[in-house]
Amino acid sequence: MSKQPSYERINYRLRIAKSIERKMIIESARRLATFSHLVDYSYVGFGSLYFADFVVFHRLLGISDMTSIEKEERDQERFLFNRPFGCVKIEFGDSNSVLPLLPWKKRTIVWLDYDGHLDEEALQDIRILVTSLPSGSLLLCSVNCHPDKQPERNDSSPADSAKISLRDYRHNRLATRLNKERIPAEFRNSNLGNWNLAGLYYRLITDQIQACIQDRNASSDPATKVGFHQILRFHYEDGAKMLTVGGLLVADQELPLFDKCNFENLEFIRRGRLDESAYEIANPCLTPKEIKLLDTYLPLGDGRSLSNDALKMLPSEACQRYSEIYKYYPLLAETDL
Amino acid sequence: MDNETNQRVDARPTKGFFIHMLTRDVPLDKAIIDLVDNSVDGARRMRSPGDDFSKYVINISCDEGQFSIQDNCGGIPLDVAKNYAFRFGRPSDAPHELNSIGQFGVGMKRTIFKLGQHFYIKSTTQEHIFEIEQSVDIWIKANDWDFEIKNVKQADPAMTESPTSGSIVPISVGTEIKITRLHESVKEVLGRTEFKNQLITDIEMAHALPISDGLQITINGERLRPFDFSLLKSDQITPAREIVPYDLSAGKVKADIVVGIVEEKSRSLAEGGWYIFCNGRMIRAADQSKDTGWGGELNKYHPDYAYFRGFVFLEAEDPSLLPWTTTKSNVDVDSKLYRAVRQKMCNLALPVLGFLRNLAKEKSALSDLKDSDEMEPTLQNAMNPELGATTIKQSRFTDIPPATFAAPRASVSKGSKDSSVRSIQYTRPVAKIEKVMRSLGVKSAKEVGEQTFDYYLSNECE
Repeated sequence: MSKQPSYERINYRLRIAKSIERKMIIESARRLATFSHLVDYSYVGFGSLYFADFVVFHRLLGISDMTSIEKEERDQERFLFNRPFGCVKIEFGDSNSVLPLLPWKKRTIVWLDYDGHLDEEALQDIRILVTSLPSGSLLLCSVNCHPDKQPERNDSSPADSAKISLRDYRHNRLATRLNKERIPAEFRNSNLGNWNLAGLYYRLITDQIQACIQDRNASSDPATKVGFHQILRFHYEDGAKMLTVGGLLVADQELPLFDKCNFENLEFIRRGRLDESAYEIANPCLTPKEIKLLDTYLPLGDGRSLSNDALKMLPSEACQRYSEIYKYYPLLAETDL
Repeated sequence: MDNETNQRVDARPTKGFFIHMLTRDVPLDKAIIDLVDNSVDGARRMRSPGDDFSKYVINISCDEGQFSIQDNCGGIPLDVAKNYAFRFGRPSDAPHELNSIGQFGVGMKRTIFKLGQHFYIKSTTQEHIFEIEQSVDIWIKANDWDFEIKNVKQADPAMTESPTSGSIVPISVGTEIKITRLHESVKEVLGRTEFKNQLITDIEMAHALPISDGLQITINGERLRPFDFSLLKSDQITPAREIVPYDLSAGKVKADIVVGIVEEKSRSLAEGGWYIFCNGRMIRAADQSKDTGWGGELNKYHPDYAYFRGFVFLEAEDPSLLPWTTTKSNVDVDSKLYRAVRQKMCNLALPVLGFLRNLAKEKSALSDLKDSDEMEPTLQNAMNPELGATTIKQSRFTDIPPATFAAPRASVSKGSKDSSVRSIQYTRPVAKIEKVMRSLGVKSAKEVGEQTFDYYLSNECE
């Protein structure tokens, strides 16, 4: 393996669901070519030290106007050193101080890929983008939505502090991150366990987008009115539960271009209809040898099926899930880059 | 239609009820400023394009016995007096005065009724001179809603020299309004020094722009002072400006937004925030509420932000398009225009707030460091007048070009400070610190901090 024994490195390279998500996003972003050549798009993200998203958006889509926002201002030299390509600019500062300074003249793909939970700062970032991005831009937001765990208290802890219920504990944690008045009434009694917190965050993100779209359009002439058109809603888990919401800002007059993108024929597209749930990115536990075998029976159809005798030894659910994402499954190999 | 089953009811308002409803919700100081608004509109109308306000004078005098306001701002034209000025509410066919402040058609009457039982108005224009004098209690009892215009005369051109053609002539072409037989409650309030001071401040703010442009307003002989429009500029720090034209179906509105910081010595918790102007009239001063984004689109207002100043100049030929309330003391936060403008305001302000947070961090980091050689006060230096920072003092900051806010983002650390460690500083009562010292068996507050931290870490976190 790598000579750098950093836990971060292993984390980033082996996050399989994240890697599948990235490829699905790339596949969606290719369709933006109906608006403009992708080389004319900008990309804005949080590259951190690894710039994994920057690498694929440059290599696979040819985008070269790239800006990474880095809030950690202490290690500037290290971040600058780690830029994968010369075209990647780094803007140091809080995202909500930096985002309003970017020009937003070009169509842009922005991925707000937060490490942490949804909070007021993240909702501020979303507001800035929804009120600034030009038509044809793709806005993506990923947040950790793993239910809060009550810390284990040992015997020396004051006895009464352990009495609070898990539900109350989670709501208290939530209140430290978000203004209380944002929380829709139907979530007030939810225990925010399992994927419930993801459901709440999805609601808050889409509510914020809709409110900001209304404010943006409030005084613009009808020709420049924009709408938000959701295309992605992923749930995935590489350890912590994660939510990604993505969609396009489209001016009414460019709606025919949006229709031409044909997002509907991508199997993971979620248009945000009321009765629709998130697309869960499968992360089946299969060995590389098993995966090679499965690949020979894919894609399904045309005489190929998972009920083949050769696959009997494998858990059928894992096979089914793999068949849904095999095109996006990362090819992992030990290598020293 | 009138027969035995269909009868009519008299639903006309009584004048007494009407006056009560009209005056109950307007504070006395705001009612008085309405009259000043009318004078300023007059001056704006008289002024040649490009001229300032230095030829115009508004004198207010008030005590327990009377209230009066006199100006040389052009007077009320006779036809306007006859058809519009004394109507309650603006008739739908009334022409809009371009870029004016007055628009609701309630100001003058509301103020008269709010203050007293008797009023006298004299208007001198270049064409006519006329007077109106009325006791409100008699008017209430009358069946009609008319006021009688008296002593209408053609103006003598020599007597009504326009102030634009010469220097200040205190009262030449202008309006005089005098209200007597003041209501008991008004008498008491008008006599108070506190109220007069509040009125002075309110007018200084409301008409900060024309006063800065030379308009002379006095209250009982005291001349009002200009508001301090200032923003800091240096090699590294430049204020932000965005000019946004809105083409609404009913007309055009221009929003001109300027944000930045003030120098160290002007830092003020009370004066930080947003200043909003509609057609030159300040309707919000130092706003730190959710109405201007604080605690919503922006973080909550906080002492770190006491350097922040944001100015929003909204202009429209048709004043009814602007988002102001009838008392002109607030923005109509639900207005579509204002909601769109607020997004622009907040996007422009966020980088300024980020800078101010970093400035606070820099200050506290420098005060924590024993060895100040480790860190450069980069942000403070950028604001230091001794290092070239200056202050732009201009009523509309016309010298500031449209741009986003520019400022250094972070302090430069000197030498090789280890970024993997950080210091913590906090304050607790001495008695409690000594108690923990005894319990731990240590001799310094530093050890108390370190050992209690390690204790928590090993018992609760590891």
